[in-house]
Amino acid sequence: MRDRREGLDGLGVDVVAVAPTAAYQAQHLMQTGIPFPCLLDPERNLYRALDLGRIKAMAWLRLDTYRNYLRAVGRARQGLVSASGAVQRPGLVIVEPNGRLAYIHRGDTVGDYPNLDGVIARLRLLTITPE
Amino acid sequence: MLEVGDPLPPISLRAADGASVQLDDFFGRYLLVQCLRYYG
Repeated sequence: MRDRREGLDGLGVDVVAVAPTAAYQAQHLMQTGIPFPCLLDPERNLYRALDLGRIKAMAWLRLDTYRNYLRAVGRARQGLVSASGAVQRPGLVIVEPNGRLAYIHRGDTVGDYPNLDGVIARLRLLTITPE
Repeated sequence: MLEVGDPLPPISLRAADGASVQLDDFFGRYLLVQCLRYYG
């Protein structure tokens, strides 16, 4: 996402990242060049609003769930993620300028993010102004 | 459950320095919001 920031700006798109925890890591990322705000949601207000709770039981039948979960366990040892955060469903949304949702991706399992090229293609369609 | 076309309700978040912020402070252009599990 860092590498795509300039192109997104050209489309008239702002970016923010939100995570439940690790204020010091958010500060570190912004100080070292992440070109968008890294916000915190310790009460999971946004996650609740978007229905991004814990992964569902069926997700544990997937191999990538274990791979990403074990990666999160390693992060937990560094204090970057809580035990509940390790099974947090991720998500990505596009919000229109008026605050309405234009796109929602709710991750089925840990680490399930949409393809960035597809998201940017969708943004191009949304931001095209008919002549 | 919120769906495409629904308005986001007011959402209180925190900046990395601990200051309180509202997600709608960032509205005005199209906004891509990544909801991560953690920073790292």
